[in-house]
Amino acid sequence: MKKILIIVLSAVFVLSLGIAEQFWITNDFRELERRTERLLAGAAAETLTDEEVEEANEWWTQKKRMMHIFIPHDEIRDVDYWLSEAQGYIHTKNYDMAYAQFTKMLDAAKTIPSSFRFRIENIF
Amino acid sequence: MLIIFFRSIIVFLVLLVVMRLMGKRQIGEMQPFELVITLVISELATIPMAEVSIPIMYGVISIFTLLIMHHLVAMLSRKSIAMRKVICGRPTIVVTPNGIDFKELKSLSMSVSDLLEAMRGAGYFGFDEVEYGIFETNGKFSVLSSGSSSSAGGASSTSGNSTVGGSQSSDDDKEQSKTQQNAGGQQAQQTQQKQPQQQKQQKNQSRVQRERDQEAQQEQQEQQSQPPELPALPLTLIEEGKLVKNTLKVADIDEAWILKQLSRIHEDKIKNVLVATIDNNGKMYVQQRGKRPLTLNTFFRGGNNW
Repeated sequence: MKKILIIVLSAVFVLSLGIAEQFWITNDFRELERRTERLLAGAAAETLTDEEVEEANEWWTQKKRMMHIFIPHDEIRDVDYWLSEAQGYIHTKNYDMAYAQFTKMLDAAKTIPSSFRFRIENIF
Repeated sequence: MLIIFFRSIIVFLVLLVVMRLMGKRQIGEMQPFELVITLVISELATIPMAEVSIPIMYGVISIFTLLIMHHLVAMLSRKSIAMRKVICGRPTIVVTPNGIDFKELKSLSMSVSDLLEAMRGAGYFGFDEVEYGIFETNGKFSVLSSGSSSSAGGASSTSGNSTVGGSQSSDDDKEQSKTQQNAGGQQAQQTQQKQPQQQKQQKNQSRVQRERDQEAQQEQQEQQSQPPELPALPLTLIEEGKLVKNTLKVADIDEAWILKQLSRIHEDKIKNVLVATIDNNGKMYVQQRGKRPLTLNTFFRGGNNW
C-alpha cells in the first residue's frame, strides 16, 4: 500500500510539473514572441525608444526566474545578451544592429518552446 | 519535464532489456532492474549537481521516474511469476550430476574458466565436488556439494560421477579374506587338540598368515613413503574439445600424456572431450560428449608446478 502511494504521489508530482512546464513555457514564450515582434517593428520604423526596450527587459527579467526551473540556463542567457545588446543599440540610435538582435530573439522565442513541447520527435 | 519523464522510462527499459540479454555475468548480487538503477542514478544525480547550466529539475524528474519504475517493476515481479521470469530471468543450472551443461553455459556467455572462477568464489575448486551448480538470477553462484570426500591413489568416485578402476573394492576383498583366514586359524587350533595329523596344515596356514602380515606391513610402508596429498587446485586441460595450451605448460604435461589417460576410458580423440581438468594430486575430471563425467586418478604429480 505504501509503495503504491509512493508510485502515485511520484507520478502526480512528475506529471503535474510536466503539465505546468508546458503551460508556462508556451504562454511565456508566446508573450515574448509578441513583444519581440513589436520591438522589431519599432526598430524597422526607427521609432523605438529606450523606455519601450527597458519595459521589455523588465518583463523578461521577471519571467525568466520561472523559466530557469525548466529550461537550460544557457538558452535564457542568450536572450539576455541579445536584449541587452539591442538596448544599447537603441540608446545609440543604431536601429539596424538592434533589428538584427531582435531578429535573433524572435527566432529563439519560436524555437525554444517547440524544442520543449511534448511531442514524439522531442522524446526521441 | 514530460519529455524527460518519458525519456527516462525508455532508457530504463532499454537498459533492462540489454542487461537481461547480456546474461548473468554482468550482474553482481543484484536483480537486473536494480543494477540498471544503480548504474543510472549516480549519473543522474551528479550531472545537474555539477553542471550549473542544467536545471536541477532535470535530475529530480529522472530520479523520481526511476523510483516509479523500480516500484512498478518490483511489484510486477512479485505479483506475477511470468513477469518475474521476463524481468529477472530464471536460475540457470550449469552443473548437474550429468556434468556441465554446456548449452546453459553458452546461454550465459560463459566459458569453463568462468564457471571454475564462479565455483572458486563459492568455495569449490573441482567439478567433482559439485553435485549441482546454479547461477541465480542475481548472478550469484550457488552450489549443492556432492558431499563425498576425494581419495588419492587408485580410482575414486563421487556421487553422480562414474567410477573408473576398482582398487578400493579389491582392498575390501583382501580385508574380508584376512578376517576369514583369522577365523580359519582359530578353528585349526581347536582341531589340533583333537587331530594331531592336522598340525602340518596349521603350520602352513600360520606361514601364509605371516607372509600376509609382511605384505600388509610393506603396503603400509609404501603408503607412508608416498608424498602427502596436496591441496587440490584443478587446471583446465581441455575445454570444449580443445587443448588449453597454457595450462599444459603450467602442468608440464603434453597431448600424448592426456591421450594416454583418455585411452583408459576408451576415448582416443580430444575433440570428443567437453572438459578435462587435473589437480595437484593427479586427479583428472573428464566429461565426454553425451556421457556422464568421470574421475580418473593418475600418477601425475605436478603439484609443485602451480
